[in-house]
Amino acid sequence: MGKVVVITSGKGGVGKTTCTANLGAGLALNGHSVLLVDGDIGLRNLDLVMGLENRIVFDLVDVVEKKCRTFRQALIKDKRFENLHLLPAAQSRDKDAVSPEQMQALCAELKESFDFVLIDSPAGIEHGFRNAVAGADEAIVVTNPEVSAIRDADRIVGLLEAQEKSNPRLVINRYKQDMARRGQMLSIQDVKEILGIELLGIVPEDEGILSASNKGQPAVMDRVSRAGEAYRQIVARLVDPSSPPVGMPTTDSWMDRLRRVFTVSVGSSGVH
Amino acid sequence: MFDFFSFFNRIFGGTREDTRSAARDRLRLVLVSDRATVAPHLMESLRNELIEVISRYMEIDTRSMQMGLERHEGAMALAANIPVRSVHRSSAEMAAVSLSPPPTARRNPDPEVESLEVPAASRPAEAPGRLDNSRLAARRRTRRHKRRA
Repeated sequence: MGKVVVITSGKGGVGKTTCTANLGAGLALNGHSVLLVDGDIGLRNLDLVMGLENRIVFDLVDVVEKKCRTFRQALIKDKRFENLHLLPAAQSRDKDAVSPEQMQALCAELKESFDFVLIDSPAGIEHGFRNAVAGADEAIVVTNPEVSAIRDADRIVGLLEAQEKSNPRLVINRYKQDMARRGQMLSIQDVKEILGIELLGIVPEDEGILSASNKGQPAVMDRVSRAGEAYRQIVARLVDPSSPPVGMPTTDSWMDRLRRVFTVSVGSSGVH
Repeated sequence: MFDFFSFFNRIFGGTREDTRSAARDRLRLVLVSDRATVAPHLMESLRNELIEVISRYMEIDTRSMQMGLERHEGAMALAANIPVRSVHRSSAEMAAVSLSPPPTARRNPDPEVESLEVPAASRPAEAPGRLDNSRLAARRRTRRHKRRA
């Protein structure tokens, strides 16, 4: 039996969906069977970030309301991976269409068939959030090194603990090492001390994330992407807690910059 | 390795202030009050337990007791205003016997506390931590009395 992991943050726009897509793709690349569940009913986006938006027939609400025979009918298989599926959110319904009890029952059923069920939680702390965490065994809290995102993350950690989702783990997204070095951004240590939960990974700011979502292709598939490298490290830690401790994926040295410039020009010349 | 980017930044971008510590300090403060206010039962149960502990030593006016978080120059403080009606004689004596501090540890009586009708027997029992609440309340009450006067 697999486990259900919810990816949540409180504040919107910190990178929950990107994180879910990348961890899912990364786990699938490592040979695990993965189901991504878009928990953001009414504002679905995981399908778009994954590049699977054209293949949706049934959605999460259809499954809960038993409009399709089994949940399998609603799953979209990602053809790029051996064993990665998406259960999209409903776009035309609102968050009240599903109850936490229904989500709990669904998650219990889903984890029978997959190693990992990753739930992309909506922003906020209301109904949608409660649905997304209801059936989760573990939680990953995504935040940015920025005061409002951290304040909201703290609130989320409190709510998760109140719901006995113990030991949520932290992903710090969009970290800018240069700014932190100049004292213009909260450091990793600051964020760790303030939130006081286990750090699962640090994802550096990377323009490649935008091009990845433009293409509908998670950055974790891109060998030269720094964010992709960070997600590969997080995946390794998710699978094996004894894997190397959290660190910045690569230092932003001259060589790295040169390599990236080189890679980008090679890539674009291929397009023309 | 020498970082040309930050070097040029420093030359052409001017000096930028350290905003990291401001972010850190502001977050720490706001999270103290956030955590306390989102959980009203936390303050409620703290209040009840405080009453229980203090009542072992003195009779307090729980109805006019006030307690809450206040901001004091870059730090959050738990401020309590607990009017003391009287101190139980037995607990005062017992504290005096079992906790009589060495002479050096005895603090100078707070002038504000001295003006109160707290039985003198309680004062030698100012074991650290034990009766600090009464001192706090006493001090606050005097202030209130002064204000009223």
